[in-house]
Amino acid sequence: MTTYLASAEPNMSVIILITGFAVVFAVLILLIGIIWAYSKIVSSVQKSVEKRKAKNTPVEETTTAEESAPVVEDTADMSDDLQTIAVITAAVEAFYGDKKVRVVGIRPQAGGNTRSQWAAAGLMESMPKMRSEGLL
Amino acid sequence: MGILQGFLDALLGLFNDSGLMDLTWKNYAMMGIACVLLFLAIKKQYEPLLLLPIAFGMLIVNLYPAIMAAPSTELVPVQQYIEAHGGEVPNYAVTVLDGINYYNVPTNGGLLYYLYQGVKLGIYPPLIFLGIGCMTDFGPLIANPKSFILGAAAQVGIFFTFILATMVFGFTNAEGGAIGIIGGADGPTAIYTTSILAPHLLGPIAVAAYSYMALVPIIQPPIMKALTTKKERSVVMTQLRPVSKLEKILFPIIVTIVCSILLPSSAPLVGMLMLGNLFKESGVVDRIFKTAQNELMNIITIFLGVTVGATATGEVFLTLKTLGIIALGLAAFCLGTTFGVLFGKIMYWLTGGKVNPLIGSAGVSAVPMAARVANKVGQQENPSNFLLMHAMGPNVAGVIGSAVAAGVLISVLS
Repeated sequence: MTTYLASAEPNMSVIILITGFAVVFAVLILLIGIIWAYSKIVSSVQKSVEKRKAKNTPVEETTTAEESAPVVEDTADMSDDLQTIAVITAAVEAFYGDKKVRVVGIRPQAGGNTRSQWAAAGLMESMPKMRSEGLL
Repeated sequence: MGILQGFLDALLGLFNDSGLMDLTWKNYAMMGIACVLLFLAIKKQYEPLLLLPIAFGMLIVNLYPAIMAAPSTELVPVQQYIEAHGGEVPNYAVTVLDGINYYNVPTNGGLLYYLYQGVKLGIYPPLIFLGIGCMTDFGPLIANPKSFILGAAAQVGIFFTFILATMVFGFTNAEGGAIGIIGGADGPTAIYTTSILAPHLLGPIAVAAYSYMALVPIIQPPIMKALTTKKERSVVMTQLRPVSKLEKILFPIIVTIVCSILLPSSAPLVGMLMLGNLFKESGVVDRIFKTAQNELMNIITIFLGVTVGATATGEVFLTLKTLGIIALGLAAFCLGTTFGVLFGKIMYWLTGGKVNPLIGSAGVSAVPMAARVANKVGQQENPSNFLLMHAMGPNVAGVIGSAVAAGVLISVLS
């Protein structure tokens, strides 16, 4: 390519600047379009597969779920809550190290969960001591 | 007396062959610079995985320059050779000079000469990219493909640095291209491009590239704060959508096809990067995936670092050109950050304030350092703002962007 650009020698640097700028942007914008398109195709294909699966076994699953739901939910809720309390208490104790602590109450925040998953993940990252204790 | 004389002659011969007779002030100056780089690598931990072998390669080549010597032939008088080898007659070519016959006796090259062939032939950098691909998660980029724009914007610094190098500093076009690629903030890409366009500048460019990559947390924040307002820096971005496994598997295949068809000179770098990523995402080649990101990567890093450092001899490094390269390298990083943030601001305006412009600075492909810097600067305004995963999109897009930019420069300038 340098041979047919040789005639534009004084402006070759500018030509290369514009060429590089244009080619890099063009290739990456093309990739944006292709990725956006195939993501749409993949997600629509996966949705139609899930719909087909849901259509194939609707009645039996509903009945089974209704019968077992009350019992399963209750015990699941209780054991989940106890496990959560145990983990929180252990985490607080580990955070304070040698100091004696007592967790007197754990209440859900008013207004529901306002923290995004990313924010929660970031908070976990910022607790180095808990990480070194292997609790996270 | 004969034994004593022979002993003294042997000592004199050793002294005459030693570095004390052959080394110049430039070699000693380079040893000093190598020791400073070793200090930065070990004590300050500036990119130690590469800066330490580079610095040691620099030290050893200035202690013993023949370690990088190419194979050659030595003219030995025929009679002398036969007498020295007990009457054996070899099969070497004979040259006649002034009526005397000489054997052309081949001599081996130095250790690092043979290892350097991997750099010279463009083998090591693509293999490093294979390992990098194994360690890279392109999920944030697939979830938000617009990050490619920011990855492309940060590469504009490469081409503006090229302009500065050729029109202001007086470098040739090929040298300017090799210097400009420092702005890609990608070590293997810089080494690959320089080994093709300007191999004589490999030492200073590699040292500049890796030193500035380690200085990203110092170089970028002032530029990011100068170009953005508090309100812009405080933007909290919405959570990225989950990316399916199929999308992650298709991504490296599609990127390889598109980039290699449009720009074949980028195929070695982009192709190996995507191959490594396919090893990771396919989940069916666990053994070679582990080898590529561990043992292979480590071996190539050692060979690449030591041999690149060994190109930094006094004659090449201690020139005004090196000062120019250091200044231009800094300009390249600054320009890349500037354009990345400026395009981030454009996206902020176009999306009505949904994109935080700070993630544009992560288009400089120092993975994951640049993304962490964007996250940190964002948290200085809003401690609950976690931009890391959003910044990883432009960060990994920058790796692809810098490989494409290298392909453009190699295609146009070589």
